[in-house]
Amino acid sequence: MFKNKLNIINAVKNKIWTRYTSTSKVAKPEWDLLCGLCLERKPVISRPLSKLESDFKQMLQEIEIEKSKKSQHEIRHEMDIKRLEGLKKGKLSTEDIEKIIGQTATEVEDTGKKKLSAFVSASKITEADKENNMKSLDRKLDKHLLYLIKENIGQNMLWILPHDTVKKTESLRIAAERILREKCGVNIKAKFYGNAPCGVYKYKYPKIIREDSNSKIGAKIFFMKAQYLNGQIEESNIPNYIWASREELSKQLTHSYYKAINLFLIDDEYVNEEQI
Amino acid sequence: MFGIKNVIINSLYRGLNFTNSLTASGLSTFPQPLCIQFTSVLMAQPMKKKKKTDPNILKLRTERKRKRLWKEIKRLTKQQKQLKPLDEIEVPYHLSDEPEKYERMKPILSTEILEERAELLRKWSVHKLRFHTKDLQIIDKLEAAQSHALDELKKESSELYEEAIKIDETLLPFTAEGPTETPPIKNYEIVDGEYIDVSRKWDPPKIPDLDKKVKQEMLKKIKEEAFKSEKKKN
Repeated sequence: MFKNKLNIINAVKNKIWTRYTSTSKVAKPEWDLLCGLCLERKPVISRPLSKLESDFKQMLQEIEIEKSKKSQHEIRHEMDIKRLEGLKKGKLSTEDIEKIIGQTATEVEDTGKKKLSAFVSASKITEADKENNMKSLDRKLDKHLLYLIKENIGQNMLWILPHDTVKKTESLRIAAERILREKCGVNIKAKFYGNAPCGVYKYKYPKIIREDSNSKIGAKIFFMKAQYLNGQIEESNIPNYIWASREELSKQLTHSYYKAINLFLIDDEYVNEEQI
Repeated sequence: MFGIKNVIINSLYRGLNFTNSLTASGLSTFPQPLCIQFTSVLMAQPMKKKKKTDPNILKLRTERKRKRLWKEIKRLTKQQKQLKPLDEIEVPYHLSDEPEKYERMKPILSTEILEERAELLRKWSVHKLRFHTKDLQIIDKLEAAQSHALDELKKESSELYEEAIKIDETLLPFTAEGPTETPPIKNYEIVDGEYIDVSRKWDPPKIPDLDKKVKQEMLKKIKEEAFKSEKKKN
């Protein structure tokens, strides 16, 4: 009996020991840690109103006018009309005649309208839109744009968000700032949204690499989000880049990559009025 | 009676001025013991008669002082509550003087238009609800993505995780501009010259420092007292 008990205790000890050693093996990182940069340009102008929205806007304006009091300009205009009638009938006091000599309300209105029509606001469709210049920041002003670069991954040239390995002394934030300098240029100014990554993309290396015992299983890319503030990309150092809208992302990126990226992007507003 | 006695003794003592100084210290040039001895208590001068004020008057005086202070405090606190006047909210004089002149004829709306408006309002509320739910969905999505990323990071490296969850103090204050209706015109020169802000500025009424006043009064009193005591010494 006693011997048996000892045997059991030994067996349990062995089990715990093996489990312990195996966990210590797992604790070793088997994934490469990368930091990705998600540099975004926010919409510069508001999107065009849908039919429902413009209808509603018009209705609100109508109601607003119905409820309002008359303005002094309107009163002035009415007085002008009365005076004109008086002039036709020949019943006018000297005071009224003096006033007729001055500017009428309609004249004031016309000069204001002229001034307004003289002002031309900048076009919402820019030259970059017409040329479909994907490298320009002036394109698609009412949409979100994302910075993509073309890099050699495996044997294919792929559009990706810029990324790099995290060096041993770096935090994710510092790595992201370095990547911004290296892959966008020194001129770009951006605002990072905190120290935490906004999303992750995992992928495994091909089997041939994985069979090598020293190599790791795959890589995890932690994306840091930043908002573009100002500056231009250094084109001399970075030949292959685009500013892609949301629709273009799904075309340019591989499917699994797009799926992972889309999880932490704010969608552009769109209105589907047929459903209402 | 006692007063007269005092005066007599006093005059006596003044006559023996010289001896007095010695007797006071217990010394005497007389061979015999002195028959009359003066103690230092008897050398004292008679007390000046203190002006007695009626306690009722004193009470009234303090009461008045307190009232005055209270009034001052009330006045100051009232001033503090004064709010900034809003010119935009105030009804202009010409509207309050002759309101009928500015009244607009209300149009008589047909039932068709009213129904159309009601329908538009219904559609609008559905539309806004959709937008709102979409917003909430996006927020959920972003949150989930971030917490997933943090979990993955925690598994790989606790150091990087600790760095990642640190608060970024440079993030606040955060300002964002736009989007605007039309894009900015490049190299635009302002036609009417510089932009000048003509909106009136509101200075809250200046409140004299209450504590300062009290302090000043205290200082005054202390000075007066010091002055009096100096006078006494002289």
